[in-house]
Amino acid sequence: MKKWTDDFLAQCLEGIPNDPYRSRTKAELEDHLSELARELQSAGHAPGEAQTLALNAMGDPLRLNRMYQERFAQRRLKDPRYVCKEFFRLALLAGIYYLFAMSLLSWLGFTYDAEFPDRICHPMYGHPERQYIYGAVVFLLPFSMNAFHLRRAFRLHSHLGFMITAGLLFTWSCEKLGLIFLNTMLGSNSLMEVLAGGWCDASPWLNLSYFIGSFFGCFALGFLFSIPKSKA
Amino acid sequence: MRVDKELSKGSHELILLKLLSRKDMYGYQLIQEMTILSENAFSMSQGSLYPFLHALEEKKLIESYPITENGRERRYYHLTAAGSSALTEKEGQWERYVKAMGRILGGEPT
Repeated sequence: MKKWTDDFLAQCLEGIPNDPYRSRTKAELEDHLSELARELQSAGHAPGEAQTLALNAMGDPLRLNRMYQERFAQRRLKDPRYVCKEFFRLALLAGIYYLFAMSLLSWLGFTYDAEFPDRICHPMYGHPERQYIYGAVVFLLPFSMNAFHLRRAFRLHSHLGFMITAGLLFTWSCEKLGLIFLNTMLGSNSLMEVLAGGWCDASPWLNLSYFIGSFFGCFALGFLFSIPKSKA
Repeated sequence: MRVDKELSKGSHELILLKLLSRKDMYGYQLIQEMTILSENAFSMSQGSLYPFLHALEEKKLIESYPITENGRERRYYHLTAAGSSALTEKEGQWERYVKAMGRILGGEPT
């Protein structure tokens, strides 16, 4: 059977998922309402009237909902499990942008070393400047989008810049692990050989400049995306 | 007579910390104490008390623990050591504020 507090509680806690914070707040509000209604009844009010007065004393449920949502968001942002989940989810999303950037570059004619007579090709092998262009695009597109999504996910965090940079570095580590794995699968040069100037079959844009540049690029993007909107 | 909402807003944190420095209390009890001690001058919409308490908890100024009373779980709030230092600091600030306002409103020459 529906209780007299149900509608009020549902409005107050709307948008807050099933979480210990929701059940704890619900229990606190329920306890508060029942004690207030009991007190009003003992002061001479009829039960129905006492319930209405108790609900009115609690305040506007829509305003309260905004306050509870904000508190919930603050708590969730400090939960390491939530932070790890978001970093992982956004790194996967960055992976999709990564593939998109690679497809775009392939459409523009970038190849590893192949040349086709029937279309314009820009093979990277033997052309370090093309490796740099390729590396810049496959870094900037997915990592900028990653920083954008991290900024949205952690906008209420008190250390926004730190969270964006940490998320970007997590994605950076995942990218490098992925490339090392691909390299191993293809039996190409080891990471150390690649960083020493060797050709990388799985990812020709991966060289020492890309490795270091993308690492510091994460800090630069973290700084840029943490600038408040009004200043940006 | 009730104090203007905007005027009393800034003092909610100090009031809650002070009340909890006397004894551990649950939400409804805090509202009751606030109403009685202020002779109904300070009163907040009762539902907004909890976001305030939760924010203080996030700042580690207070902590909460559940107690089951008459088959119902009730959450009590307790002032932490950090909360106690914050209270001392806020009381000092409040004293300076009241003195300054007193000088202005009382028209005492500087």
